Order: sequence, then structure tokens, then C-alpha cells
Amino acid sequence: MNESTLPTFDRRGFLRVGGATISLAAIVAACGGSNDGAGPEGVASAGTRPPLATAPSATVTDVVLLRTATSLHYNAMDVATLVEGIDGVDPKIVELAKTYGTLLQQQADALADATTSAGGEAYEQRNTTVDDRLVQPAAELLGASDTPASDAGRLLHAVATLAAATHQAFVAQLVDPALRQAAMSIGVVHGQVASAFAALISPENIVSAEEIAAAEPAGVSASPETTVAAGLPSTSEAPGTTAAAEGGIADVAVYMVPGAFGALSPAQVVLGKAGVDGPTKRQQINLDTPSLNSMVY
Amino acid sequence: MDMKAHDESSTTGRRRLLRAVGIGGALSALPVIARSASAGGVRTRSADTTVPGEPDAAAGVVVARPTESDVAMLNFAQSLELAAVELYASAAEALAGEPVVTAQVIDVFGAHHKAYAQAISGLLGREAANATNAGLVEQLGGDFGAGGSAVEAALAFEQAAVATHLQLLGQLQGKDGATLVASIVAGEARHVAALTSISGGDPMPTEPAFDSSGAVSEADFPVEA
Repeated sequence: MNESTLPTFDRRGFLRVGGATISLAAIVAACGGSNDGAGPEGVASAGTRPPLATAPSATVTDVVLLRTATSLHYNAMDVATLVEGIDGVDPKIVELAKTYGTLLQQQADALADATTSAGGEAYEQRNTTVDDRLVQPAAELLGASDTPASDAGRLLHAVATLAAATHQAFVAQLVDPALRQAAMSIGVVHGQVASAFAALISPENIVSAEEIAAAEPAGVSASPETTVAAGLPSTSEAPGTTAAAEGGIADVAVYMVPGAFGALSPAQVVLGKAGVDGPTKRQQINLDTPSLNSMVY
Repeated sequence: MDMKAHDESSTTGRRRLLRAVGIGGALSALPVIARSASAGGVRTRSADTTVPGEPDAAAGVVVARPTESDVAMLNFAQSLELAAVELYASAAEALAGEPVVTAQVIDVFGAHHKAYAQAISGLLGREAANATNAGLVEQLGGDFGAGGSAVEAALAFEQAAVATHLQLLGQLQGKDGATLVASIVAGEARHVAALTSISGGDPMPTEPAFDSSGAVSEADFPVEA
């Protein structure tokens, strides 16, 4: 009947087909080459194949850290020079930028001397990775900004903060204690420069409202002079930041003393043109301390 | 029967746990081995197993934990911070006529110094002396308290603290202690800038490196546990 004409797939048939498949796979595998069937030798290619590149190996030594620190000072000098040349920047900021530029050159020279003393070759030029990935993009955004005068000071504040964090981060990697001391002797100056810029950018911001609240003894509520001055919630209208008022990204708040301990987190700054989309739109830039890919080996 | 089944399952569970711990232990040891292996030719060694107060490291060898001499230096640094806590507390009481903002900053900086002392205590553990430097409090108490200029006194103290910690950085062998002191000195240098500004000065530094000649020494202000 109909049922007898239908193709059936019983257990025996299944085993037969399965066995044939396994046998075929074993034959194909046995016919393969002796190169394990993997890796470059197993990949077919047409024409002449370039030789395989070997990944370079490098070690972060005291000399590498000193060379990297030196190079970063030249990047900072570029930014200081950039800020000096922008129209409309507060003359006090320009004066500070010039002073900072002088300090940066002296610090770079001292670090170059330390590199030589440590048996290395001084690297007295800008860090190309930092230039490509931080300075040039920041300069482009600054050029597109609607508020270049105020953004310029904030950028230099961020650069000084980055320099301070970099020296602090290098302490954990330097082997020679004398070099740790030398690094931080310079690093704390960068931190103070950042404080000086913060004092000009936001004179009312010495410490944050959160820190004031945390330092208050329990049960005591010493009210600040004004809630607005302390950055606390208020019914009066607080002076908004330029970008925030225009519906863009708010400027990053800066403080003379941003926290109890020196921070290693990225220095942040908001740059770019508000109200547009694209590569020059107003955006927050994170300035990270140099890592393995931006060391000067 | 039930009991036997329970015993079997608990034995299996224990065995599985031991196996898991064994694998976990082996995995957690990998970074140490890797660091030791990668340290060939470099002046480093893994020191994760050292304890506070280990004998001083040989020259050119990096250790993580504080050495014996590090512990003494860090206890001195902590005594300085605890002295600051007392001095700032007396300054806060004496600032009745000063602007509220100044009083708030003094409060915050006092809290910072307390945090520094606690961080050092956390690093040293049972080796921490947790002792206030009585000599410093006695010498500077008058400047911070009523009758003195608290802001000026605080500024002078912070400058000395930065100088002291920078000098310690040049002597500390252990990486952990050096890293902590570096983060503390970074904060205290900002205190200097802020207090300079509050007292009417220019916070912008004029020298490329901080002068550490104004450091206080343990010989002059010993720690009395």
C-alpha cells in the first residue's frame, strides 16, 4: 500500500549513513599534509608572500620613563604656544601660559639631563603618539570652537593636570628612588600650575561642595556664604557654563584642589563647536596618562 | 541510605571544590610567575609575598611592600599627618572671624590629612604606629590656634609637608609606600597653591621643581609611639 512505498529511515539506515560519514572524514584527514592543517603554511596564497613580521619587544625602564616624560613636556609647550596665539584669551591666562612654557622648558631640560645621567639618550622632542592622538585633535576642536578664549585656558588646565598625573603614575614604575623623588618634584609643580589655571577659570572653586559636606562634623551644618557659591542646590539661578546654556555639553568643573589624593584618572576638557554634528562637534576629550603604546623606547 | 547519599554528594562536592580551588590557585599564581619570568634582565622581582617590615632590599631591586626602614619612615609621615589633623582642628576653632569659605577650606584640608593618615595605616597594618607627632603639635600649635594666622601657619605647614614627603620618596624602597606618598604629596602641593591664593598670593609656581630643603626630620621631631 501507500505506506510500503514511502522511503523509510530506520535505525539501521541511520547507522550505515553515520558510519560512512565518519569513514570519509577519516580518509580526508589522513590525506592531509603534515603541517597540522593550520597556520600560515596551510593558507593558500597567490604570488610572492611578504615575510611574517615579528612583534617588537620593549621593556619599560627608568630611561624609557624619563624619555617619555621629557617628550610630554614638548607636547605641553606646543599647547601653551597654541593658547598664547588665540585671539580673545584672557590676558591673565596668556601670561600664565607663557610662564608655564618657561617652566616646561626648564623641566624638559632637567629630565633630559636625568636621562643622560641614567645612562640613556635624551629625547628632546614632542611625543608623536601624544601629538597625533591628543594635541592635534584638541587643536582642531579648539579651532572650531565658538568659545575658543575660554576653552583655551581649560585645555591648558587639562594638559597641566595630565602632566601631574603622568609623573605620579611613573613613580609606581620607576626603580630608582632618587628618580621617583625627581619625578614628583616636577609633578607637584604641574599640579600647582593646574591649580593656578583653575583659580583663573573658576575663582570660586577651591574645593568641591561634596568635599565641604564630607568634612563637616556630624550634626554641624555650617552653611556656606551662599549656596550658589558652594555649588549646592539653590532656588536662585546659578551662573551656567557657556556650553550648558546653549544646550551643548557642559564644561568640566575645575577646582584648585580637586581631591585629597593626586588622581590618575584622565584629565577631561570639553572642546569643539556646539550645535553641529561631525568630527568637530562639541565633545569631551579624555587626556590619559601615557601607556605602553605612547612610551618613548 | 539517605545519609550515605548525602555523604557521597558532599564528598563529591568537596572534591569539586578542592579541584576548583586548585585550578583557581594555579591561575592566580600565573601573574606572579609571569612577572618573575618577564623580569629577566630587568631590575625587578616579584615581591607580592613579602610582608611589612621585611629586611631592606638590596640596591637595584624593586620590592612592593615596605621594608623595615620604609615602615619607620612611613610611621614618621603618618605622625606628621596626625599632627596636621590636630593643628587644623585647632585652626578651625580659631577661625570664627574669618570668611566662611576659609573655614570650610581649613575643614576640608584637615579631613584630607586624616585620610592620608588612614591610608598609611591601611598600608602598614599592624606595623602602623598611629601616633601623633607631639613635638610638631607643640611647636606649631600657637600659630594655628587663637592669636596666630591660621592660613599662614597652614601654608607653612603644607610647604614643609610637601618637602618632607618628597625627601621620603627619595628613600623609600617599597613601591607601595612610594606610590601612596606620591599621591599624598600631589594633594598637599595643591593645598599649598590654594592657601597661597587665599592668603592673597599668586598660586603659580616660579620654580620648575619643588624645593624640598624645608623638610622636617624625624631627628628633630621623633615619633613617640
